[in-house]
Amino acid sequence: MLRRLLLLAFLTVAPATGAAQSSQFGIRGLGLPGRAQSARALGSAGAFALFDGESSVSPAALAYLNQLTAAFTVMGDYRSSVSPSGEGSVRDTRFPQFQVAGPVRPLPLVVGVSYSTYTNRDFSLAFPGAVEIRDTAVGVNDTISSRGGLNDFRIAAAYRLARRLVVGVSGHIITGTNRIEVHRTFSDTLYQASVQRAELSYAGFGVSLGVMGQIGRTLTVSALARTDGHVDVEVDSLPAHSIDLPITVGGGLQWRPSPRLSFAGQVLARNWSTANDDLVAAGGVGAVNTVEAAGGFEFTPNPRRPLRAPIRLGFHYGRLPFPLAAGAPAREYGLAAGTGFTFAADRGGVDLSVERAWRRQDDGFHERAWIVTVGLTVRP
Amino acid sequence: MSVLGGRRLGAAAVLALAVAGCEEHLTQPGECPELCPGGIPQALEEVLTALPGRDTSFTGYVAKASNGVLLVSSGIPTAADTNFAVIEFGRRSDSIQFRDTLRAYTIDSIRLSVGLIARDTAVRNLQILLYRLPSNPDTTALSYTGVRPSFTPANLIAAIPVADTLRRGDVPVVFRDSADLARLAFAPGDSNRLVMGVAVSAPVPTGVRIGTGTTGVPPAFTTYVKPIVENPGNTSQVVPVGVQFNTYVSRAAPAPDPLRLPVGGAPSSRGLIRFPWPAKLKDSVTIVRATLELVPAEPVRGLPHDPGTLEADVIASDLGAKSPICPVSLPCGGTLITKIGQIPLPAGTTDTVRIEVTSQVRAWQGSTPAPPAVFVSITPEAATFTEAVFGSTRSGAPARLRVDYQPRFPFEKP
Repeated sequence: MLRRLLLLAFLTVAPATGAAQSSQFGIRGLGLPGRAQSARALGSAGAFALFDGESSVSPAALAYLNQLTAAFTVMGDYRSSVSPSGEGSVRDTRFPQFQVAGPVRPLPLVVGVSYSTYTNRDFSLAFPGAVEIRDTAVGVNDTISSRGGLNDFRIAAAYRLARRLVVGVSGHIITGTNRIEVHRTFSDTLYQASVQRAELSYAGFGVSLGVMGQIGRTLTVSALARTDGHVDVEVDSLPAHSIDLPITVGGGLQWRPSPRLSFAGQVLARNWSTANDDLVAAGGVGAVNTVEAAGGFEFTPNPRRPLRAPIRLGFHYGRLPFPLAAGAPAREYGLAAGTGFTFAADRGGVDLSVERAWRRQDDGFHERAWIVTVGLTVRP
Repeated sequence: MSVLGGRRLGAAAVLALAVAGCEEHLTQPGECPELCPGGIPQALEEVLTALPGRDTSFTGYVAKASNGVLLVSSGIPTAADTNFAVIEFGRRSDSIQFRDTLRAYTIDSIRLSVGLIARDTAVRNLQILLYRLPSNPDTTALSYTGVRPSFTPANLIAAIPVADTLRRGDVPVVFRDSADLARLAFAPGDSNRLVMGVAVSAPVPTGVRIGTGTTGVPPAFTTYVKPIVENPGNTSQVVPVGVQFNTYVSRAAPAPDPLRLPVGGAPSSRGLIRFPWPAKLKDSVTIVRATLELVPAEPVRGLPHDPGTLEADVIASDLGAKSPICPVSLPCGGTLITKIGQIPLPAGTTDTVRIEVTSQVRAWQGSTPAPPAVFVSITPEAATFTEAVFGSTRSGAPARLRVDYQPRFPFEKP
C-alpha cells in the first residue's frame, strides 16, 4: 500500500510539459487535435470513448461514474517523423486529460469538470541554410519552436431520464496559449544570434449534448453533437483574428455479448473546413473536414472486478484537419492495447495503454509513433 | 499473467514513463513551405547616412601626458613632426642621514631610465637620447620652439641604445665616471633639480611611447651616494627622486578641421555622429549586425606597428560634446552593451574603416532607447600616435551605418 501511494505521489509530481501528443501534422493550423480520452479508452484506441466516464468526449458517459472519481492521465510520445528534409526522432511527455466527477445523490445526476487537450502545437523545427546578406551567402541555423495549444475546460452533467436513457450536456471553455520562438544563429560570428518570441492566446466557447441509451440487455448506443463556435486569437495581447471551430457529430455502439467481453465502435465527424477561410486569410494552408472511426474490444478476466487486468485492443482511423499543403490530405491510423489494475480496495487504479500510430500525407511526410499512456484514477 | 505480476509490470511501466517524462526532445528537420508556419526569417538591410550637419568633432577630452604616456618621436606621426618629452624630477636632497646625523655625501653613480611602453618593432638601432635642460622651465608655457634649442649635442647626457628585441620595459643608463657625472652635476642655480629632455634617434623616422611618472614604468633618477665620514662603509645609499612634472611638446600642432571629423591626437578629439533612425527599426525588428563605416579623408597618421584603437560608443543621452558614453557590460537604453565596438587602426590606412557596432545599435531600440548617435574616439586617448581625419557630411564623405535586421516574424500565421 505504501509503495503504491509513493508511486502515486511520484506520478503526481513528475515533471512533464505540454498537453497532448505532438506531431509534425500539428504544425499548421491550430495544431493536432486532442482526443479527450482517458488511458482506459485509449487502450482500445478510443473505441469505448463515448461510453467511458473518465473521458471527455460525451457528457452522457458521465453516467457510468457511480462514485466521486478523479482521473489523471500522463502520455509519453516517442515519434519518428519523416519529411523531404530528413528524419527526426522526437519524444515528449504531457498531461492530456484530467477530470473530477461524481454523482449528486439522491438525484440521478452526475456532474464533473475536466481539462483536456483541444489541439496541440508542440514542435521544434530546425532549418539549416544560407541567406544572402551584403551580397554574400551567410550560413544560418534557424529554429522555430512552439509550445502550447488549445485546451478544453469542460463542465458537464449527465442525467438519467429513465433506467436505460441518459442525456448529458456540457459547456466548454476553449482557451490556451501558444508560445512561439524563432531563433537564428549565423556561421559568421560578426552576426549576432537573434531570438524573437510571441505568445498567441486563444479564447472560445462551445456546448455539447450527448445521449446514451441501452437497447436490450447487451447493446448500448450513444450519440453526440457539439458546436464550438469560434476562437479569438490574440498575439501578445493584441487581437489578431478569429477562427471558426467545427461542429462535431458522432455516434457509437457498445455490444456486450458476455460479462467478460465487450465490443465497441464509434464514428465522429467534424466540419473543420469551416475554419478554412479564416486560416487561409491569416496566411495558413487551410483546414478540411474530418472523420474519425475506432473499433475494439475489452476482455475482463474477472467480471466481478472489471478494472483488474482487463485486456483491451482496438484500432482507429482518422483524417487530420490541418494538412501541410493544400489538397494533400493527412491521415492517421493506430493500433492500441491496454490493461489496468486497481489497488486499495478498488479506490485507486492505474490504466496503461500502448498505441502504435502512423500518420501520413502523400507528398513525402509521414511519421510513426509509440504512444504510451498511463491513467491514474482515485475514487476516495 | 497473475494479478500480482500485472501489478508489477504496470508499476514498472508507470515508473519508466515518469522517468522518461523528465526528458523532452522535439526538434526535427524543417521543410518549407509545408513545415514553415510564418515562413523563414527574413534578412533585410538598411544603410543609414549621418544626418547632414549633425556630425561634429570636439577636442579637449584627455590632455597631453595625462593618460600615462609621453610621445617621443622623430618624423612621426608625419614627416614634419617631432616630439620631445620634458621630464622634471623633484629636488634631490643634498645630505643623507648616516648614524643619526645628516651628512654631505659623495656620488658613486647615477642611474637614469625611461620606461618603454611601445615602439615600432620593425625599426632597428633605435636610440633614446637624454638631454640636460635648463632647471627652471616654465611648465605652463612649454613649447617645441622653446625647448628645441636645448636639444643640442652639448646638452646630450646619454644616447641609450635600445635592444631590437625590447618591446616594453625599462631603458636605463648608469653614470660612474667622473666625467659623466659632471654632466649631471647641479649648478647653484639648479636647486638640485634635474630637468631632462627625451628624444629618439633611428635610421628611419620613428617614435616611442614612454611612461609618465604615474605609471608602472616611470622615468627614474636615482643617485647612489656615500656619506662623507671617516668610515663610510662599502654600501652606497640610494637617493631616489620622483617625477615632479612631465609632458611632451610637438613641432606640428594642426588645428582641427571643422569641415571634417578629426579623431585622436592630444588633447584628444572625438567625433559625434548622429544618424536618422527610421521607425521600422525602432521596435519589433531584430538587429543582427550593424557596421559603422568611416571614410578617411587622409591617410591615418601614427606609428607603424603600433596601431591605436578606433572605438565607437553609444551615448546615454545627447548632450553634444558632453554626451555620456554607455559603458560596456551595463544597460544602456534598456539594452545591455555586451561588446565594445572597436578596431585596430594602423598608420597609413586609407580604405574605408568598418567597426562592428551591433551591440551598441541595439541600444537604440526598445521603450527607452538611447539616442541614435555614436561617439568615435581613438584609444588610449592622448596616449597613442594614431590620429585620423574622417570625412563628414560637410566634406561629402559622411559616415554610414549598415544595419542588417530581421523583421518581426509573422507568428500569427497558422
